[in-house]
Amino acid sequence: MSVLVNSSSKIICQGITGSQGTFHSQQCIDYGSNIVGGVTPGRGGQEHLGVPVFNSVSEASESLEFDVSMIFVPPKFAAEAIIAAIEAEIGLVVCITEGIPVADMIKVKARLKDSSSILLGPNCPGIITPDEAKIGIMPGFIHQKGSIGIISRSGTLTYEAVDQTTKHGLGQSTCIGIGGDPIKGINFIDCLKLFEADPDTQGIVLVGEIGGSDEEKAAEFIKNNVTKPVVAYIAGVSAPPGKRMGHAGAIVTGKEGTAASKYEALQEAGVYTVESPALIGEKMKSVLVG
Amino acid sequence: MSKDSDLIEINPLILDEKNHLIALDSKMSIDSNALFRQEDLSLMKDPNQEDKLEVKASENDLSYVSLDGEIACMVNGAGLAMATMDVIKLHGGEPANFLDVGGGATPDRVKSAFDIIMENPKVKGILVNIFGGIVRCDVIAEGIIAAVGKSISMFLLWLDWRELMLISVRNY
Repeated sequence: MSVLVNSSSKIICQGITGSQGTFHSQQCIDYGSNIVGGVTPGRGGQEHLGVPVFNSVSEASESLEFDVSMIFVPPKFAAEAIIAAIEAEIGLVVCITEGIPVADMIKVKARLKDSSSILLGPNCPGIITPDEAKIGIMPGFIHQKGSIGIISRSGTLTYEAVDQTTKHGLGQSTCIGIGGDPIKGINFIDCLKLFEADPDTQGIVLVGEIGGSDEEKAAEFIKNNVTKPVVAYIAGVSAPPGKRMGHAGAIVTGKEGTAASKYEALQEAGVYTVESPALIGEKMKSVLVG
Repeated sequence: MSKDSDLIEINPLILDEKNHLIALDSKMSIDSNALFRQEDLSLMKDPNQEDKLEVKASENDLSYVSLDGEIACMVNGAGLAMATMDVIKLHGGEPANFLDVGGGATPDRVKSAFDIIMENPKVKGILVNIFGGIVRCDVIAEGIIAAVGKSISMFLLWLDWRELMLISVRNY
């Protein structure tokens, strides 16, 4: 078992013929992901990376069956691409694109409501179930099938958590990069629910960062609903207030969004917190194995 | 909404004798991701109002924030870049900057990252932390060599007061 994606996931890539779309789709195919087709307006009828290309998602759905879309469309057009995927009722829409205007994402969120789609991202590394499906830009070789569910707002810190849980012999059930934007699809709580219900997940790593109050909300949810051990690290203890640290959502505004407030909420909820990202794997190992 | 503004602050707002509300001053912040469709507002951007190094970084597609410490860092990924600053602080140091070279780092971009770091006179050492995999470490290494190679005489001149302390890939 795993969450959201597995070896039977059938994937299309929106933006498959672009340079990022081409490079990463090939990496996903090499990992063993089942990419069945791609979409690039104006390139319909061609073949790319050994799969058919269509002009639109709706055109693709007339001749192919798929349940996941991976989006590598430039920020200007990415919101439109997400909405096209929602309209085609694709179960899971994974948007890697960074830099989508907030106003566009507000429109996407409105379309998402009452739809049958789950959105992951934007501005995220994607999702991987080791040995089954890699949908995104993470380096596949650091993963190992195992028992830890990973949820993170940051790409490279997800890889840190993956690398450490692999080196400590724990492995991962599924790793979900929820993305660094303030307005996004699924959040910590949605993922916590999935991992809590997944029999193959024995522990959960949560990697947060400064900005917003999603970690505080996650802490409240964990306190009342999560029985599995959770290890958390929050990036940005040293970040100055009022400065955006790379990610659009990573900013301390006034007293809101500080790492200290997030750590306090998580500790109060019984979460095992670590002050250095280098200790994530070690802590999880000691909690699970002793 | 039509101007892609993410914050508008009006202060002070006054009521005159005729009961008219008048905004005497205001500040407006625009979503930088939407500047491509706000041409008139983009033209009003005055780089002189911003940190010189931050402007130079954004011209090179680097995400850079100036800080007050002495240990500079060059990292791939915003989360790891923040975490690297945290680790420097945790071990008693003070970070000189936040710098994310991004996923598509090229030797040129890495070189300009080094140039920007070296323009900050407070910097005593540089910590390079790259999670390899998709970003190729040989590309990063080429950029470092290009930067160091070009300014090797400067490093030698500066050694007495500004030491190029540490180039450590993935090693806290």
